[in-house]
Amino acid sequence: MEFLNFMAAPLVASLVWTGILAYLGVHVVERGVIFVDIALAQMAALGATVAILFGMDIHSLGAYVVSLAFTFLGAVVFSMVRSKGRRIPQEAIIGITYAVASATAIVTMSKAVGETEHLKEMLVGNILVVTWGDVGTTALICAAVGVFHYVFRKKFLLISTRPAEAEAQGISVRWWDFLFYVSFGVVVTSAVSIAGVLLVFCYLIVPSVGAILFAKSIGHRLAIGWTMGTLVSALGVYLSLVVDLPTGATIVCTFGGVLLLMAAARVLFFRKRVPESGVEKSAGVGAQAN
Amino acid sequence: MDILKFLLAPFVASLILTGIHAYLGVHVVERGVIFVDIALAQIAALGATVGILLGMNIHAGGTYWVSLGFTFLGAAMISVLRTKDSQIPQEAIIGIIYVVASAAAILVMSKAVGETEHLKDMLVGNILAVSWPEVGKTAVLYSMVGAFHYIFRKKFLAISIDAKAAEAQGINVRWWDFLFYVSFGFVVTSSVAIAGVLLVFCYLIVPSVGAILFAESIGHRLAIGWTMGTLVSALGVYLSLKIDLPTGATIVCTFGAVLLLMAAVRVLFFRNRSESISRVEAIHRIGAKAH
Repeated sequence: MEFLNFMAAPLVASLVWTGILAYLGVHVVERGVIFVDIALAQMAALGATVAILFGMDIHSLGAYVVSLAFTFLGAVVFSMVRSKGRRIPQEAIIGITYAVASATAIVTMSKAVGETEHLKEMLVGNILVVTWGDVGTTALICAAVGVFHYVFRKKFLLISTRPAEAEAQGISVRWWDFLFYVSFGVVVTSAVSIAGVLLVFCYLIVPSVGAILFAKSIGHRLAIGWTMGTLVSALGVYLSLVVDLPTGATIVCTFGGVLLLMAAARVLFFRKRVPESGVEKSAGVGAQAN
Repeated sequence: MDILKFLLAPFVASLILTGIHAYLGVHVVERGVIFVDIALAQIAALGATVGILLGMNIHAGGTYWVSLGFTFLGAAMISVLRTKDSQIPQEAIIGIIYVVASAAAILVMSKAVGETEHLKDMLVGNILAVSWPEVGKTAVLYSMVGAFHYIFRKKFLAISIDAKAAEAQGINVRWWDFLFYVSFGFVVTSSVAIAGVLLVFCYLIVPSVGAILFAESIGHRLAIGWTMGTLVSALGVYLSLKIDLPTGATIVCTFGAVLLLMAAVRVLFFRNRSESISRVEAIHRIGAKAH
């Protein structure tokens, strides 16, 4: 029972993130620009590092605001360069932003105390030490964003799945893009300070990808994504405690392992479906190798 | 003079890195799948970490082969998954591979000694510590890969620029893709051990992107890329010593800043070019709005 007490706050936190990030991840995958979120998460982490350099505590309001400012900077740049067939691929800009933000964080850390522990925390967080206060704060933020997205869900869905149609309907895509990235930034900034860049990326992308293997409609994908996220979080935290490994990194690897299993299940048990996913190709290679 | 001697091996190493990576980067940007290289670099780093866990020294031959093994596995996976309008964007697969490889490396490191220094080395390398034997080995390897790519440059360019046209010409795209990723893997595995994942990514992408701002032809892009890579490496190493900062990370930041400068120059002095709106102009607009 004490084990559960100890795990309760981390588990609730991961439930909150699963809820909002799996939903936002559906949008991110639909938009097809996956790395925007890892770049934004890294900008948030960079902001947090700068805040630490100025002596703020990472879970303080001040750090959140600084972190958010950096995230918004990234969001503004990305929403302005939403690709229109230019010569420099948007992915290149995003990749460079991600790498430079990471390096800047490392440079900043080198001037702060306790440098290298911060580096690991930046990447995989420190979810086991999350306090109920932190959980409450992040839950409030994610709930607020969730409500905002529920109220305007039709607009958001349209600009993510069929932007040309949205533009034709008179919706200002650039404005709603911006709102999307702002709300996205608010959530990601909060999550990164506890879970780290890599784990936040996982919560965003893996449930959505796993769901695409089995469902087409957004509703079904959300259901599968939420289930997957919840189970993987619990399993990951448990494994990390049993095998004595960094928790955030273990959850990430568990996400990877479970996704692989889901892909295998899809191929082995749902073969009648017309093959469309790249996953089946890799499974095909596996079959040929046997 | 002493400091120059101290810097010479790292500087030569960065020249070699610039040479091969700026070239490979042109291909990567043409193919439009930028993150493949960061994922492969991370897989190589994971392999190196496993090598260290097994007791090998990171600069020893054994670690290179373990690392290479991982890279080839990753390369095979990625070339098999080259997307054909699948429901799951290839970028998503690659992103997941990158992130899981990073986390796995962190897990492996947690069981090895000197964990957190390894993490920083994994990301930004330790180019100041490169030895002359290492520089020599790297030079030989990259010359071989360079020669290979020079001989078959037409095929490689064809499949990178327009895979469909190449297929139509009868070129076996999947096979040459595989060869590309194999040669890429040899290079990246070796580079990551010296320079780290983030810096290798920079050497690959930034010179190429900087060159696109000013040139259309591959030849011109290579020239600009090589110049940029050389100058930024020198500047970055110098700055890191002056301000006492981690060298690899400083070079990455210098790449970013110089790219920004090049973009600004492009907008301010080359306004006649009618191009589709570039990021440069977007930033210019942001700057204009801020005033």
